[in-house]
Amino acid sequence: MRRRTGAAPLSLLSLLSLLALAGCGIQETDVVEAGGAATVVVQPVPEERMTLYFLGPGGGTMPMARDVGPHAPSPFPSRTRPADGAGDDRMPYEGFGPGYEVSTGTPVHGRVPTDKVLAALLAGPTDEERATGATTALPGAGGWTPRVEPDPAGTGRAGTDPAGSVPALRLRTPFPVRDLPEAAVRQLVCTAAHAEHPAGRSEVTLTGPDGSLPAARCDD
Amino acid sequence: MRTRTGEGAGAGRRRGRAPRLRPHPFGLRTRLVLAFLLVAAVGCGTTAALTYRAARNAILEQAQNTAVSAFREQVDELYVSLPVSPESLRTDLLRIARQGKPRPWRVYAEYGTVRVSSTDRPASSVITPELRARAQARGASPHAGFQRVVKNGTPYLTIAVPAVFRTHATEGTARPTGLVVYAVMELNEEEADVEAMVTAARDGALPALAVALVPALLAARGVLRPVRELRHAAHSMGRGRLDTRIHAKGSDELSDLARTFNESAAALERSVAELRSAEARARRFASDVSHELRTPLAGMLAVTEVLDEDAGSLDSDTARAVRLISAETGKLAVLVEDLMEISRFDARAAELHTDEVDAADCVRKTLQHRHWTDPARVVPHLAEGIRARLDPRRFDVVVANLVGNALRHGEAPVTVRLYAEGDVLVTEVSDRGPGIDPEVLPHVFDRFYKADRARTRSEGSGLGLAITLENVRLHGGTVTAANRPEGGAVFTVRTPL
Repeated sequence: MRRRTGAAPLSLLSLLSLLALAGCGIQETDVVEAGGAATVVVQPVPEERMTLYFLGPGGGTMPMARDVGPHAPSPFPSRTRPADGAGDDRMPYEGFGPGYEVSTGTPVHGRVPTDKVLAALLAGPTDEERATGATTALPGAGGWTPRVEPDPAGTGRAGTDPAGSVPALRLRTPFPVRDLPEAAVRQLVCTAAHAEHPAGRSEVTLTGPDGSLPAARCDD
Repeated sequence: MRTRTGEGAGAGRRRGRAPRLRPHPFGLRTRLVLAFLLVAAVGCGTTAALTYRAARNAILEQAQNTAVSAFREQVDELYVSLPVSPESLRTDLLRIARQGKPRPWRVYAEYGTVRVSSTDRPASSVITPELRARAQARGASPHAGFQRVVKNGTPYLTIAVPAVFRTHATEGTARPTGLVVYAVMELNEEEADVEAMVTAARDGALPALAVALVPALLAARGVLRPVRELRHAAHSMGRGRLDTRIHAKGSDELSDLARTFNESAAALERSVAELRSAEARARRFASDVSHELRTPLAGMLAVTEVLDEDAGSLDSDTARAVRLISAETGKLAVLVEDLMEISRFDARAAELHTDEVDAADCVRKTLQHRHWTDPARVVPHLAEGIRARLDPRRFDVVVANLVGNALRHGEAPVTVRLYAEGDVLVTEVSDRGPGIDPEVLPHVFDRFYKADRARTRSEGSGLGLAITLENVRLHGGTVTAANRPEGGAVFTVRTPL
């Protein structure tokens, strides 16, 4: 009897001391979520840049902001610029395909046309961007450029948007879209949506020679 | 009555009035103290552990929250171009590293394949893959995170803050830039604080235990004192002091016990007093009866003496009747005398008038007075010159009763021995008879005990040996009856010299 009454508090005591010993010091923890991310300021300002969505080494989007301001060098890869183009306001740019001319000298107010941004995206990252690990999942355009047109059927989700209107785009690509990797679709959608409006809320439908993909938004 | 109680108490006092408590290794006191200490230890331990946990968590939380929010603020102030230029990023990291809060930290940045840090090593080995994966998780709104890591015994706080940018100055959504900034801060000071708390808890708990010993001992005393009182009271009651009572105060179980004890003691005292008074009444009755019988008997004895003298002149039948009456009246007188003697013993009225006498002389006188001088019947072997403190009258009764008893029930010659054994005077009376039946032996000193139930009449009163026993007891001695191996009974009286 006495042994039994003595054993219970004894085990309790040892348990407590064990707990106290185990709880001493500073323990490791799992990863603890602590608030949102930090918002940095990206130069140049949104009005003087175009944002191209490339892919990082981990597969995540890695946006690149190219300066399109009045004092900026050409945002387009320098290898596409003809050496004798100096002084000429308008020049043919074979990268965009026939019939396209790029006005490099004119000050850009607001934004660069979406098709030009997309042409730059298709041209791939620059050497500097490549050096930081940026890649693209898009195939080469082969001298063909995507055409951008407002989507007549793209108001499908307008009714559900509290803002009332969702701009809809249709993107005609020169390559098949059905077999594009998900990352490549994301690149196209995000770049187009943000080129159309900096808020990037546009709905984008990709249409290639082999058909169309469902309308998508850049909110993955 | 009172004398008897007093005598009992006196005997108890000789045995020791308050015997010491035996030491109990697991007694009430030890158990109470241990229980108290256990409770105190559990209480102290639990309190200390809970306080310690809460305080430690508070210390760590404060350090973590300060560090995380300070770090996020620092990162918030970054201006970057995309792609991020490693050179300007390193400059920024060095600036952030200097402004660590609450202490300087090491800052690392990961951007694509670029690794930049504020130290000479581009990447930290403390940052875990889990933290990295969490910070680089794909999704519209990445979150900052932190993790405590212990490496080589040093605790570190690692913080990961992914950098996002706004696509539009006012209405743009936040998009990840792909840049993640990490901070690594040692938690040495926090660990020192935590260890100081452990020390403080230990240093506080030990005196608390020591302090708990005081109420433990007080409580043990509070319980043990009534128990000890109860024990003394029970002991004293056992020694015959039935008027023992316990001072019962308070309203706890122990005082209830004390009250119950008092009630039981009072009831016991009452019944014992009733029994004693009944016994006393019975004895007084026997004493009164024998006393009342004495006067008429004295008259009868005088008459029967006259009748005895005249018996010769009567016819033979009448003479036999007269002599029978005379003999029986004599026996009745002896019986009444013996009864009175024994009732004096019962009433404790018998008194010892001791005198320093020569023991052998005493025995010789007894034998001469009873005319037991024939060596064929009584053989005295008396050691000479023994001085003893005796009541001569009572010693005479003792010797006479024993020798008379031996002559009556045993066979001559009866041997009377007297010798000293140390400081004890031994008087031995032995006969050559058949001895005493072993079944009868324990009862030979009982009153009116008949060894032979069929023999209803004997020459003695049936009280002789009982009176002998009482007389020897009055001397503080003992008397025993036994059978000798060579036959015959022996009665041995031992009295202090």
